[in-house]
Amino acid sequence: MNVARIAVLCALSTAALSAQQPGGARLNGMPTDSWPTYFGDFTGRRFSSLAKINDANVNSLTLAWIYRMSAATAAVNPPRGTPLMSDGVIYFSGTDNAYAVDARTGREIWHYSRVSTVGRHFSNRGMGMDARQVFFETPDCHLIALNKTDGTVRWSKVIADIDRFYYCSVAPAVIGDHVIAGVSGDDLDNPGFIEAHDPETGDLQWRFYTVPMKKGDPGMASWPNENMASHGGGMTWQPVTYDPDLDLIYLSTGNPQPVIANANRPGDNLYTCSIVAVHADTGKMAWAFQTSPHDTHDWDSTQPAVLFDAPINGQPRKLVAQAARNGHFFVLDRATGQAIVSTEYVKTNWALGNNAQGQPIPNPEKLPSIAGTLVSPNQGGGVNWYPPTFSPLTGLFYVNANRAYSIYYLYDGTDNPQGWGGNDRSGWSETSLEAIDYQTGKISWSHQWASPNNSGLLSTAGNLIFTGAPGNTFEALNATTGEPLWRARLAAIATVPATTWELDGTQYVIVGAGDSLYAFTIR
Amino acid sequence: MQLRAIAFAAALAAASLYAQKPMPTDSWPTYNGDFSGRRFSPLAKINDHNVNSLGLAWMYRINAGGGANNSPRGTPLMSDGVIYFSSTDNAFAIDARTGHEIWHYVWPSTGARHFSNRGMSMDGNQVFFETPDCHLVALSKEDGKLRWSKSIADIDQFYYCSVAPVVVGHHVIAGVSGDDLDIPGFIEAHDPETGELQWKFYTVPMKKGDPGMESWPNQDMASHGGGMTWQPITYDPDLDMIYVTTGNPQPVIGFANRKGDNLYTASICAVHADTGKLAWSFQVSPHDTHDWDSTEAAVLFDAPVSGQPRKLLALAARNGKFFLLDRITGKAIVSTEFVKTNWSLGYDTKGQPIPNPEKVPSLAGSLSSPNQGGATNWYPPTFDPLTGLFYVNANRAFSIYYLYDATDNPQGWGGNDRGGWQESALEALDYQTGKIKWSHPWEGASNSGLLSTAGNLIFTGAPGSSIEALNATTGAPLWHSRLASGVSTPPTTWELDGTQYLIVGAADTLYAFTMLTK
Amino acid sequence: MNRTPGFAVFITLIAAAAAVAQEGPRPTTPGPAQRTTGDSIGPYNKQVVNEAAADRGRHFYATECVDCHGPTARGVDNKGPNLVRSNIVLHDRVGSELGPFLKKGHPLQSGAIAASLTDNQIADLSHFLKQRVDDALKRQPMGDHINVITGDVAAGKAYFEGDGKCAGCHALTGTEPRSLAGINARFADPVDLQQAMMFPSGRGRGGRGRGGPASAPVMLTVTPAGGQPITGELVFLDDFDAQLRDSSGKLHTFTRTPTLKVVKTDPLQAHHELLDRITDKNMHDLVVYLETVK
Repeated sequence: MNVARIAVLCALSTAALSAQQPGGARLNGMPTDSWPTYFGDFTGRRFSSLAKINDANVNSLTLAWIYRMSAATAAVNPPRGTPLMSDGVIYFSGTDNAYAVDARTGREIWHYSRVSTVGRHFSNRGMGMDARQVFFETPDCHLIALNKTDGTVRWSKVIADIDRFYYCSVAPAVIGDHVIAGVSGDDLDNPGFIEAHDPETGDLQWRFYTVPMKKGDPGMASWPNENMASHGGGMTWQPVTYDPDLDLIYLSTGNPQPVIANANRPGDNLYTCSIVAVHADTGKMAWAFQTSPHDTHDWDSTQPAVLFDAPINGQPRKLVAQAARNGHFFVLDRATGQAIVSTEYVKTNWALGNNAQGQPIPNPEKLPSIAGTLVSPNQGGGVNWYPPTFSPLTGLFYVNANRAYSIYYLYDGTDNPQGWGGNDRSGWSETSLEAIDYQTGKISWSHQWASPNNSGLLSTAGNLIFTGAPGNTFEALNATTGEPLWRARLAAIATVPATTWELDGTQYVIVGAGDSLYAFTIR
Repeated sequence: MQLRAIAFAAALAAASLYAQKPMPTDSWPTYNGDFSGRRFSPLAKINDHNVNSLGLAWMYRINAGGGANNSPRGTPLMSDGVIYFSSTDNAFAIDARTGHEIWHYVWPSTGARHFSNRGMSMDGNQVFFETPDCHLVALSKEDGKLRWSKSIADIDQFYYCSVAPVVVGHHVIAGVSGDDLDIPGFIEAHDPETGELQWKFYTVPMKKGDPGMESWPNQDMASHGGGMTWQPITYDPDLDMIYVTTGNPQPVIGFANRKGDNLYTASICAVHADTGKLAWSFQVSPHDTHDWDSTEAAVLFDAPVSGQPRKLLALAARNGKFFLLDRITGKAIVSTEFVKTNWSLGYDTKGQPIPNPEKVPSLAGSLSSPNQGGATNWYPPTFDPLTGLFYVNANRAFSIYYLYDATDNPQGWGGNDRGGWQESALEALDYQTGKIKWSHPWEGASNSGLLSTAGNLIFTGAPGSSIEALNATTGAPLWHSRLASGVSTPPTTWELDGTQYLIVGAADTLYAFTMLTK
Repeated sequence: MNRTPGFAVFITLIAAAAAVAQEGPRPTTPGPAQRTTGDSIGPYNKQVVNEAAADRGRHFYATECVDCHGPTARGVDNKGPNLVRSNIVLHDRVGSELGPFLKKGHPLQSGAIAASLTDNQIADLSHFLKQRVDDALKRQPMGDHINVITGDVAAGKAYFEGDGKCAGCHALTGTEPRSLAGINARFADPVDLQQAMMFPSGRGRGGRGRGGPASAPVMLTVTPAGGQPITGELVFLDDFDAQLRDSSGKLHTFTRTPTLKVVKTDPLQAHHELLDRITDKNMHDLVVYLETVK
């Protein structure tokens, strides 16, 4: 890595650090010898300061090891959750399964398996950990704590009613003395929520509903009545991010219910499709910003709320950014929730500009209709659950973005639809890895893929972006220019976002594809 | 490193020492890469200086479906940028640059032991392989369509077929397997265009007057005497000679009804390629009673012995012995052990081992070294003309052999070995003496084929599911990648678009590694 | 070709063979240790022996065939050929080949006319003959029992206390881990005692599989450069990594470097070295001796 880059790294880190005091180092520094949370740290930037693997030597990356799950467990779902690592042991989960694998050799240490009675085996998106335990959710909505040493169960708590068609896939986040768990489930009309549990006992500490549940709750005015609000959706699919100085949890919420049919829920439908800041100790809301007011396209805003400190117009600011499902990119002040940037990162056709708060105004002509409405993006969205990355070195926010069209059909034209009441169908899309200037939302560079690419991203101080790519490929690109530098074709699509850490002075890059975890290194 | 490749080329050109043609670098057209069986590649772009940067290029996951063995063991072939490989009842073509599948052929099986499939052969526009139910099958390279198939053995007699054919001139040479019942072994030559049988060479005497009959008590025992032809042949184009290695005699462990040396079981046979007639033979395990097929690779190389250039054949045998023969005459030059064994009493005047009668299997058990798995097995060794070393993954193994059928007319097996202890190592032998130059111990067994290259590297599967590269001169481990499962096909290498690839298979996945750095 | 054991022996052998569980033969060399999927020998349409029919066929065979073809159908010198090797028998499916062959005319011991044989008789005979083929295919001991009791107790004791050097590690009384007190009751079958004695680490392929787990684990001591040694049970070791589990159960993994010292200790090393010294007679003597140790 060249001297100029080192100088820049030092400058940015120092600037960022000084702007963060006190305790700012916790926000800025993702550890290099472990990966203790879903995002590596609480910020969600997925940026590693490791540079032993860099744009000058990435061509020497060699395959260190492959860990392959048993066929039986992988057949249910290939894991999608980012693996965690501490003390040389990797922990990761699949639906109803959890694994501990030695990080140096890729050899299995333990494998925990259970059977979910029911619950949609949609996916499992990962784990949380503290010093002695790992935590994960099961399809039948148990939050489970396992001993790190041997994978035995310490406690297990039911967090949602699967008879109401909730299911659970979200990676828990351990914040101080709270294990924060989210829920999924938009088949019936249910309220979304996050819960905080005691890490030692599993006991419930607080619950935060993402929609108003009773008269007087904030946001009730954005619903026609209490019944619609308290069944209003807003599932909490995405793991939270957290600012320890403000002691604020940043939650992103899903679409309102009913999903497509919307005749019985006029109003903005708060706080669905929103970024919500919640006090970590009490579970009370601090502020909210709705990215899709009165959504009618299933555009969960459940993408990571990425926290970073960076200058705006020369002034140091505490920011939160989201590339949202609906094709819009937002940068907010994370202390107040005020929008600073509100743009499109892919061309869309459903909004009539932004309101005074910087929120998009939905075009009533682009609501789903019985005969079909052409909408861009499609239901899959401009982006989905897989994580973006922000590099403080380049100042770019990277995301695998879809420019997509489909036709939305309303199925249930009555005035009291339930559940979905409609869907989109077929379409066209193209995906590009976009590097977005956070100050303006403009696209600095864009690397188009030959076919759709729903892959999470990792950026490093080695000036590299790691991503999955079409053709079962795992690829590294120059973070500044977007030039592809290295690739390896794996046995399946990269479904687990890349991570990196250092052990014994050696940097490893880890990615998951299908039933296997792969570790690459430079020897 | 380029310097080494240049040096090698110069040596090749100048010296009569290495008069053999090196194997092609832009293809792998036959089981061993070429007819010699040395499995030595002149490529040096991947070498002992840069092997730590060997990167994963692509992976191909096989999905042959139920019943088939999804874990090919046969060395894949490559020509014109297409890789061809087989498993039981299945054949595949994949693009050598990207690992994408081009075609996949499935043979409808009528049964027989789906033991394994050890590979294919090719000519200009066809690939050939055997199916477990003993059909020799020819497919079109371009689209995998069937061109012809011929039955080569009777599965009612419990033959089964797993051997990689070898195309020698205008002959497709096919071998057979099967030691469940007492049947004769053989190789056949078939016409590549029509599949018609050209000649058949039995490895045991079939009728009165056939050579070797005196080494059996009678014609019935001889003509049911075994000698399966598990290993693909090697070939000397100048002598037009095929070198066949043969399996154990039958009955396998019960031996009361087959007194005599039991020719030509557990032997090396030199056979004229045009006629299928025996030129000479050397018996590696006279009157074998331990299931020690001599079906290891008969490796051909030209090298000096005591200063004189010689045409040689080397075999590291199942029974723990290493032989160096003159491949023109079949005379032994070196007869020694490459692992310590306990079953023989020295060598006879021909250099063939003399079995110790006290170490035959017994009812109460006889402690034997090596065990039935052997000091080595089907997986190929390699000979590196640059180091002059013969490399083999070797086992020092003990087990106890029990005789089950003590009657005087045992059939089939009549006994087996059981239990055991072993330690394994990759051994580098000085071909002139058979002495071990260096030995790299494994923690666990490595039953993996080897590849040597002009980059001063030996590639091998290693315990811990690794593919590993060692310094060919010193044996120092240099690089490894831990794969999703243990290596199951011998490694190969070639060059495409100026880039060198290393290919290896592990269970149901083919891996391609390459050097991306300059 | 061979001889004719007596009729009594014939009945015993047949009964013994029939009593044996029809277990498929195991894969053998050359080749990998593990079984392949879909592994079955012979054609898919192989005849499955009907035991009741084979019993009837056995009586028919005893009445009509045994004099020429022998009690196990393996032939009699200068009389009848080995039927286990017969292509007619191997190609036959419940009489499809046997029937036409016999009905053309074939000597029968009782003088009966082969052309009048019924289809049922031929089918029964076919099952009996296929059962004899199966006997040849299976790789089990006759009577499914390996008899290893052939040695001399006194010689075994002398070897145990002398050249075998066993007594130095193994007491015959007491409860410490290496004590052989009660060894004669520890294994139901003496062949298992023989196997455990010769191969206590449970590794090795052999024809009948791997034996049991190791009786005493291999230990590893790893010393990082300038650090303290860490000792534990060897979990994994190769050229590049070492893993051990210490006495508290904690797993340690080390990437091997030139400065990392790795020492392996095998408590069973003496047994491995014994394999080069012990004779088969010693082995048999030891087994019968240990069978007396209560």
